[in-house]
Amino acid sequence: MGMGHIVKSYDNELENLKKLLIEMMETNLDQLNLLYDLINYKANMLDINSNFSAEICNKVSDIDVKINSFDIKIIEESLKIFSLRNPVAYDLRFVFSASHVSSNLERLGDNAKAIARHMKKAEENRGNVERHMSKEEFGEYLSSMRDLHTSNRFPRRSFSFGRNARRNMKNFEPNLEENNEQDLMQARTILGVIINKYLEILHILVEMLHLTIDAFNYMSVDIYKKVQGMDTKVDALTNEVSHLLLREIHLIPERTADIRLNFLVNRALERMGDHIVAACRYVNFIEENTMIYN
Amino acid sequence: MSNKKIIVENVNAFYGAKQALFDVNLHVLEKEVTAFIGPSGCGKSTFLRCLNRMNDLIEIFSMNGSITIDGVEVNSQSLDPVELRMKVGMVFQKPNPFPKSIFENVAYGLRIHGLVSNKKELEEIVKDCLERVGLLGEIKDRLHDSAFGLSGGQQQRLCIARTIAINPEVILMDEPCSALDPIATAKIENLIGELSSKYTIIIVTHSMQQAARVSNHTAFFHLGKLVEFGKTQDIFSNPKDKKTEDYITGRIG
Repeated sequence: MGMGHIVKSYDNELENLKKLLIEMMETNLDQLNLLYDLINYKANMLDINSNFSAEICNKVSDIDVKINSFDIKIIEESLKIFSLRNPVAYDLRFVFSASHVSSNLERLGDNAKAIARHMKKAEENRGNVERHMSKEEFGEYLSSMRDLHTSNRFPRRSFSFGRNARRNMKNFEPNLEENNEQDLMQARTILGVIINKYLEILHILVEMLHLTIDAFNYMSVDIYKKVQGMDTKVDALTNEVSHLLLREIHLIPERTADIRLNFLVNRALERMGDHIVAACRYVNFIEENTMIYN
Repeated sequence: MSNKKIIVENVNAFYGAKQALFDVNLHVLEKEVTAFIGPSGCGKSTFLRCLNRMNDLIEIFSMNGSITIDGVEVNSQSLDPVELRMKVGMVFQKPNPFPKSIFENVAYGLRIHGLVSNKKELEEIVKDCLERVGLLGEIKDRLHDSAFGLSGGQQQRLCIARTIAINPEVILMDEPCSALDPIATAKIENLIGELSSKYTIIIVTHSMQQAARVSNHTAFFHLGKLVEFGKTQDIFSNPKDKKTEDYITGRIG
């Protein structure tokens, strides 16, 4: 919309709402960059004890508080405009979209916080052998889990690997033999590949969020379509990671508790892509008055 | 699917040398509410008044083009304007009751048009009209008191009762709520909704929220031209024309 409103204060209110959305996205971006640092640190300094990752995890949580307050502020501002200005057409779509975009950004923040939490937990578990299962325990666990799965009583939240992983696990045979050196080496290599894939995914997510900011700044449907295309890549990468994690369980089933945390990280990354696309989708709604649901 | 009650083709209107309407084409569907919106001086009231030849009273006014109601040309010299105005009633911006009693305000049109044969029938119709506009319950003990004793909103509903008493087919409303408070406005809007099942209603309004609330179709006029005409929901959610969007979002006035 090129021309301003006759009532200038209305223009200011809409501009302020847009500014809040962009600032919220930039805060999300800070959070994603911290996650990138965290995983990058893990990729390069796997065995060194340091408080670095704990500090980053705390920072990610602090930023989430900031993101939540942006969400509240945006909802308040939207309600104010709805009640005082009775927006219609383009303005109505923009104000309506603002609260939906901020909800998606808020969930993006929640997922980032969850990743930091899982990473922190994995860090705490390191070297704590009591926290891991023995091969015998894992064998028992897997068989009980399969029974539940085949009887359709699989407890979704009790020990969640995510839907795809559960499906793959149906025909999964873990290595219950004593580990040999070769298995451990292979497991370590796979873990390295996984960490690199996380970095690749985060790199794409950061790029997607940058583009989302541009999409809102320029109200560009073309940029939204680009963001949507990038999410396909995120989905493909998270799917690859899921398979690698199953392979990891096969090789070192006694580390399942740790690997499970990685499943959760992987799932959160996949959802972050979905939330960025869901937020960016509103550019299309505002500009074209059509909502794309997938 | 409603029938086309009013068909307007290539209407141009002039006040002396000044052209007020430019080539207006639209159709109004039967038993629906159509709203005319647009900034002051855009020609919406001029156009509304063309529909029952109220502009005939203005010496310098002239128009060309065709307006038909149920296939009858409104501007035909053979059509008696009084007969036309019986069929096309009008409610004005300010309530304008006659300086008579509430009862007589409604009974007046029925009497002068000879639409009733006896006093009992007259009383029945008057009470029925007052009931339909939701006024009877409020004033049943004051039927023979002066209409000027009513509140603004009650006076406007009385004017609507007066209009529907002679059983028109089309009701034209020229900003009927502009002089009323929000409660009286809500009552009139509610009444418009109820009347639309029986009458074809055209309303001129400056309140876009009101147009959005009460009408099925909306026409946007700007500088004497009909810019956009369509379903109200489409006009207010996704207008096709940029001028419409600029107007309804408050970017042009």
